Amino acid sequence: MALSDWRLRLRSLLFRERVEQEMEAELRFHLERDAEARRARGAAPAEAERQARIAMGGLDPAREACRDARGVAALEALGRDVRHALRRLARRPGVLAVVVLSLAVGIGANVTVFSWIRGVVLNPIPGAASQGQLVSLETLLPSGARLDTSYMDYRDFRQAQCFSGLLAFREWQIGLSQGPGLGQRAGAQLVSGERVSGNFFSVLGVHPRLGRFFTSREAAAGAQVAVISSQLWQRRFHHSAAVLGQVLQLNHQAYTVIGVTPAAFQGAMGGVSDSVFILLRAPLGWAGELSDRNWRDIKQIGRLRPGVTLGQARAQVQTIAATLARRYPKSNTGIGAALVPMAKANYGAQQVLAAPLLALGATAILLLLVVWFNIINVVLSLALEQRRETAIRLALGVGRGGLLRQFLAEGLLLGSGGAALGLIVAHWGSGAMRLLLPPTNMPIRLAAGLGWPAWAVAAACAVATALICGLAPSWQESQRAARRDPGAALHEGARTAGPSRRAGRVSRGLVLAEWALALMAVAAAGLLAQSFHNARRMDIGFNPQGVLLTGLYPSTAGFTTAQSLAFYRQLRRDVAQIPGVSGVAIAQDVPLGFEGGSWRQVSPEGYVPARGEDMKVYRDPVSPNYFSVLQIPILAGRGFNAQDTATSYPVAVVNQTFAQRYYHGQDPVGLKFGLGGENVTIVGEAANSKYHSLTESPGPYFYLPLPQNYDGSGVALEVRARPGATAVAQAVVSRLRGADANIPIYGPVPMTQFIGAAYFGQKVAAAFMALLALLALALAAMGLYAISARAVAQRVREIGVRVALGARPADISRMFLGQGLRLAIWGGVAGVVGAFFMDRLLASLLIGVGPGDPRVWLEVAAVLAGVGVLAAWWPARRAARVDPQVAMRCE
Amino acid sequence: MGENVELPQGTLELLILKTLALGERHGWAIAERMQQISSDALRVRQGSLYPALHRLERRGWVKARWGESENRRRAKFYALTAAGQRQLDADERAWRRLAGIVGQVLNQQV
Repeated sequence: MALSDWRLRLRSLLFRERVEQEMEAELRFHLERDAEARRARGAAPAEAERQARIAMGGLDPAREACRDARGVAALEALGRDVRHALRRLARRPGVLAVVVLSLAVGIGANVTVFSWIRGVVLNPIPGAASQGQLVSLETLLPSGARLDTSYMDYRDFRQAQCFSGLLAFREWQIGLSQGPGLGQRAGAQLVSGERVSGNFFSVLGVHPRLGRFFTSREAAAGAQVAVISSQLWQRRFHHSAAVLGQVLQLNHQAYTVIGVTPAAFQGAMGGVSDSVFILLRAPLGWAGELSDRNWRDIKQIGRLRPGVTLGQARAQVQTIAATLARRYPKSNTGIGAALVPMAKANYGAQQVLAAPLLALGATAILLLLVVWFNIINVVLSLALEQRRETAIRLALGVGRGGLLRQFLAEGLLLGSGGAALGLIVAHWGSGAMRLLLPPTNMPIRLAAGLGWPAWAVAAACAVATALICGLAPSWQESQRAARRDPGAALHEGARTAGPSRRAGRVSRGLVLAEWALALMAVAAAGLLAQSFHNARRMDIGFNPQGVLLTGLYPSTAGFTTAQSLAFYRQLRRDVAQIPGVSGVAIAQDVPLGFEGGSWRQVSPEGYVPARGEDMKVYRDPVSPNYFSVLQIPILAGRGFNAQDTATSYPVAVVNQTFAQRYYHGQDPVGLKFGLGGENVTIVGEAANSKYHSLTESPGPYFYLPLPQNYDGSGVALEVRARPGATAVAQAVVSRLRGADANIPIYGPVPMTQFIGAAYFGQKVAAAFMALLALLALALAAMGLYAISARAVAQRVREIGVRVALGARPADISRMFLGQGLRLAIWGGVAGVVGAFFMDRLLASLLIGVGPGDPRVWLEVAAVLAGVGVLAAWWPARRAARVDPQVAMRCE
Repeated sequence: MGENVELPQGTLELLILKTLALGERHGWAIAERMQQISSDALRVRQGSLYPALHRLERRGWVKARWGESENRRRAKFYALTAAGQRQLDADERAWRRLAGIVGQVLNQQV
């Protein structure tokens, strides 16, 4: 199409008045000249003009033909429809506001949850290419549990043909300080980093923003080179290009910066923003056991070759795992391999949030459905009120198509307005999840922000709204027009004929459906709220109230293991002297935090493991006083004391399940078990507590003395303060700084906040579900109110008659209340059926409640009944007070 | 001469282009000229002249400007563009060829 075509069409649209005037002028000029010519040939002036008009074929047809030739007829018609629709909607500003606001809420909620799901579950590694092809390869225990893998196993899995690349990584807390160079202040900063294989960036499909990534020679040699994130580049180097070649001190080892990752990339751990990437084989103080197949702390991500299905890949890795089990029976017996899409990986934000987000997504859709049902009812009743106008238009020849276009234009306006507002709501909402995060030393960065798919969702909702708003009333009108002479609608008193029976049934059906959906939402919210409540009150086996946690990382400041242990001993003595402190302990793992723990293989004396039984048990190296600080009861024997040193004989404290399972309930004190070649003597039995998650089933666990089992990683200083003691936190920090100013620390934070990680998923689910359910209930109540009010308005005369005949106000209101309540109750019944299916989704999130918990359902029923009564009764109340004389006269 | 010939649709535009080949004209002058050079046999229904002109303008074959007519009144003048000239040449060739073939076929009939 020629450029001139677009230009002229645009002109016709934008400068309609001027174009019309020009056309008029042109045609008139022609007529004048024609009339002149005829006059010159001898015709009378009036006759000449008439002839000229006839020669043109009539002025109006000429005008129409010119307008058609402009090529914008259809667009102009649409524009007219939109303007009319605007005028019609503006006449009822209250209705308009309610509709647009509820659309905004419904669309906003859906866009928000959709962008959360997209960010956390579908896009867990932002910045990576084609995340659909990435899979997580994990160790599969016979019990079905999934764990990290060992580095040696990783080397074997790389042989698998199904991957175009398999990377390995491990998260690491690194003490970062500046080498000589840019003249920054020398303070050590604790950063979260990843130790990665050489192919890390190429498998993920990430390209350097500055500099380059690792070469295979560097990877093989374990070269001391580092890649940093854009965030670190900005924070510490202020985007200076001189960062390349800079030397960083990582845990007091010199590393050279060779590249910067793109801004969107934050590492392979979903939801966490890692700042430094170094090679797995590069030394970092304590290197971990890369050569021990039993040391499983590596995570693997593979990119499937194009054309390879997940099933084929699974078969391949399971074959490799079986080979390894045969070749290395001491470490790999019974160990399988699990291959899952990244969204289902065993770590990262997606693992915590996937189930809650999906539940939220389902509820958001329910909410939008309720919103749409309400809008249909509103639009239908508006159309009913405008019956006369519609009849006139039909009589003037608008036709069914024209009517449809008119209603579509209205719907498009409402939908666009709602979607635009909804995007604003979503913009605020997508940041809301951060509000619920517990404090943690991990740099959580949950992908927020609305990308183009969010806009697409909003646009789709707008179009769907337009279709709904367009089709519903035009269907209703066409039903009526087909059945009846349009003229009848113009007559006075036509309103008493009332809406068609069918339209009334449709409206009532919609309200019933709304109540069903609202019940489902409220039931889900109730279950989740109860579940969250249970989680908070659950007996976790220890008492976090009053305990302050501080994270310490001496190895990142260059301490050796022995130096660290000595430091801890001194620190405990110092901190114990702070006034208000009743106990101090140090432990390597903190129960119920975001970070996992580690396990060892045990061989209890006299216990023959069943075939394929998993003898890996989680353990925690702890200092003396650990059990008294956390108030975990010691049921037999003792905790650890100063006599348990690195050189005394190996001891352990086991939990109840350990004793029951491996020693058949005997008193375990004095019994032994094998641990990595050593014989460990049990000196105490501790009560069971929760270690990793609130929903874990009871399992064996044991504790080891810190000096005998310290591997140099970070530890937690746990300080119990007496109730009412103040300023303990500052005192702790000052003692720490006094002991050594260079050790990076995290906190102190109250332990109650820290272990919020255990129910972060529940919290997210419960909070937002409650919000959505509230909205759904409010909208359903509005729908019920509207339908009751309409019923009252339509039967005003009938009420007048009844009152005149002696009915009391109570009778009138009871009549309407009964009708409204019946709708709500039937809706509720339908909702129960729906909720039955929906709650299957929630089962994994529920703690201490089953989907059929009677107490919750009773509460739900009470809430819905209460709201329903209110919504149905309010208009009924008004109805009762109608003055019969006014009613009779009223139209 | 003979009876007035009905003008088929697409050819009106071709004739307008031809008329404008000789220079810029306003709508009335185009109508007059067409009548003239067809020796009065063509009576264009003038109501269809202006839509045709607007269509031609949209396709970029003529361009329009407002100017002063011979009798000092404002009128819209149309002129052929380069693209229009090319289109005219191509259409003319096609027409002549068509007319030749049809004439040949008609002449064959006995």
